[in-house]
Amino acid sequence: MVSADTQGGASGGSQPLTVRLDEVDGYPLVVPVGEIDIASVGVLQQALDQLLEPGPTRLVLDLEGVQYLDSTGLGAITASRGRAREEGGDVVVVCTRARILRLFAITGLDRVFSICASRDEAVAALAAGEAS
Amino acid sequence: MTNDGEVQLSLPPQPELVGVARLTLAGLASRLGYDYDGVEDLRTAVAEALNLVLQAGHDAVLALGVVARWSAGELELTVRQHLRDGGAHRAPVAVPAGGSGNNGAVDDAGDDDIAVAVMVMEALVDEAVVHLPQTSGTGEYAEVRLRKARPSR
Repeated sequence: MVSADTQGGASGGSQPLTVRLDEVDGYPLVVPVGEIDIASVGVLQQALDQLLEPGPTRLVLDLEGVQYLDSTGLGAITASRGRAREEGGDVVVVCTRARILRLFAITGLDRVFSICASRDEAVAALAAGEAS
Repeated sequence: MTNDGEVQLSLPPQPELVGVARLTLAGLASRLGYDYDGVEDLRTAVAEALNLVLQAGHDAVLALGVVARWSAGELELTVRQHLRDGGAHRAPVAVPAGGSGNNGAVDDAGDDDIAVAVMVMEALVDEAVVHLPQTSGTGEYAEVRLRKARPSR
């Protein structure tokens, strides 16, 4: 597990960010829990970089535990997806949280990312992408 | 709560403290009668504003200031850098809405990051006016102003 190392374990009194790395049906799974903002985004970026470093990676990013996401977090996620796709990989997002989805919609990124309602759906999307 | 009022917040220019302003503004917005979505909109917008002025790197930044002024009709938020020699600096220069007028003075945020932050703010409040220094070292400060109508009772 990668954890945010912020003062007092929290970002200015808000919920600290932890990032769990796991696997779902053979695909790497990234599970951030807490608030992703300018203070904590580095923790998520580090986890994504760690998974993308070895080469083409197809991974699931589960945002169901994210209480808050700002444009710096969106930037990190978008950059990681771009990096993955450049090397033949992909990043598929799991999210049903209205506030987070709204941010994707405002920025038009809902048309760029595969955003799934469950991990099973995300795995199916990655498998379909792999087959095509 | 009275119809008119003002709250001022001053923070050291540290990313870890943006969360403090977010929480403070959320509390204020709730007291001013905004519903859940309104509170969340303001919380996110003020954080984007703080991200921008925080990343508009400036050696002379002493603090980040957030001023919330409200009347019966609206809430206005001003987020800006306070420089060490606060009285000697010129007025900030406007960045065109919906895009980045940044030409290199913003040290840590790229043009795309700025454009996304502006896009988010414009979607969440009624008006977002972003001023970023055109060139570094001129004594200009970064400032973002946000306005959002208050809910009718």
